[in-house]
Amino acid sequence: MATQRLTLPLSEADVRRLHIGDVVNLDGLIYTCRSLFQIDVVEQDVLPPMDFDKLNVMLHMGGIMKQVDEKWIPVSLLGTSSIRFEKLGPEIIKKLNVRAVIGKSTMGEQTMKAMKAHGCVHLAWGALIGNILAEKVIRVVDVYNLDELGALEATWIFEVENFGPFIVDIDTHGNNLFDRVNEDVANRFKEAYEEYDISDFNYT
Amino acid sequence: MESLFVSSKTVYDLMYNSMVMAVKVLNTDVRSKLRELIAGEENATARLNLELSLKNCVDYIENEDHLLCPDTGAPTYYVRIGENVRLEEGFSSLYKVSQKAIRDATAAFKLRPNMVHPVTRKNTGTNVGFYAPHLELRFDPDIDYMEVVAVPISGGSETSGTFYRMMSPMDGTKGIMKFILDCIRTSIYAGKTCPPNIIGIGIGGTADLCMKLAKQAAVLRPIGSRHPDKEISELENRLVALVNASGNGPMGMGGNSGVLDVHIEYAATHIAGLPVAYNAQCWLCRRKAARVNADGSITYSDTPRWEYR
Repeated sequence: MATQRLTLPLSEADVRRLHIGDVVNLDGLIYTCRSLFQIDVVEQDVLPPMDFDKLNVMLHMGGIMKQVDEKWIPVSLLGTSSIRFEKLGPEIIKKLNVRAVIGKSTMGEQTMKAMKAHGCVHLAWGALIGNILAEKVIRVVDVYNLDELGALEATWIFEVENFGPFIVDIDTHGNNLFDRVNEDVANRFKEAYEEYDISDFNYT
Repeated sequence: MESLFVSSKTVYDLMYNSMVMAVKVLNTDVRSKLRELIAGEENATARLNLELSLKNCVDYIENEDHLLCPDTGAPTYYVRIGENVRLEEGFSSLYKVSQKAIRDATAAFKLRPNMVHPVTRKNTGTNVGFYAPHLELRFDPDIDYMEVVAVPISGGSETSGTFYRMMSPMDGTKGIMKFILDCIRTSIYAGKTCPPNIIGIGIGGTADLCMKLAKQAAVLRPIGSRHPDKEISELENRLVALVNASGNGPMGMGGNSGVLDVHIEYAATHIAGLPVAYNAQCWLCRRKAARVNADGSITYSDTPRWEYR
């Protein structure tokens, strides 16, 4: 289990080399968003003036930003559950040329298909590392929609260094780490259901 | 027994300090359990993740802005009051004082403004609203102090790890086991509830009490505590072993550190029904107890006692 350091932006070849379970740290520019940004992009076709060839790693933001004098700094940085964005996932990835989505938990089948076709991975964290990640933001480069959406929903652009670790949970080969783990879990539970004689139990 | 007079200022300090400490300082029981899990974890990625989580929570403590998690939860207080306690402005002042403590802690950026109107989703930015912060009171004839336990209830485990079912008494033990196993399976997938969790299970009571038993078993009972009934404590142990052996691991990414603990509580219930409830708490299990003792001194601890059996 060696940690790989990836330089951003990611190329399609970079992400197609990754497999579920790989541990990665990132160097370069990332941007943050939540649902309002994605709804604007898909339904209204409204995009901030960003260069999506250079910015192709998206973080589903769930952190805390703090303003000190005129400067904004991240206090604690984690993502929010990616599964909530499943509905718009496939279109966002294609439209914004996303190569990696960072978020909590995972995404669903439609997004997995889109990731395989386009060349994109999902990166989740297996650790609670809000303080550690905040420290790895070396510069807050820019922010969009701060006044309209507030600090949590705004689109922040961060320059990050050795940002991670994240675990690849969806790769471009059609695999999902959580589903893989879940197969083992299901087998172990099957035994437990048998042990308690409730494999075919139906509630009254 | 001599009266213990508690000023409103003291109540405020207990509430403010306990909540701010709860979101910043990792409990001692969680800390030692994590160390134990790290030592026994066979999956290298899981071990790395547990180690980083512990580092993230312990190493940054001196940092003024340090938080265990950016989600500072739904502020909740459990207050246990001895017979001898007299409050300066009466017991009903607890509601007013708790609102002030939460409002002030939020204004001071110690808590993230999480609480919104459930339908309009409007956020007042204060964490205060109807029934918020939520307060549970218990009058206890066996104690000579007042204890405030602050619990910031985490959003992820609350939303993905909460289930309730009113069963028929005919469903019996099999129904209970089916419900529990189904709930565990659903909630631990993909790290939705931030495992290793403390899993709380309530059996019996009325609908509201049943869920309270599950919630309070998850957030208030210290890790390693066991139900006094032998068959219940044995089931707690068996469920711990099952989740660890399932291979789900920390954040559902694989490993043998699946759960911090399983706590089950039951209450007498109506002859017509068999209610069951499930509530998972994320592995931070934030709680801080602040106590004003009979001699007026104030002490803090991580391991309150709340059960009333």
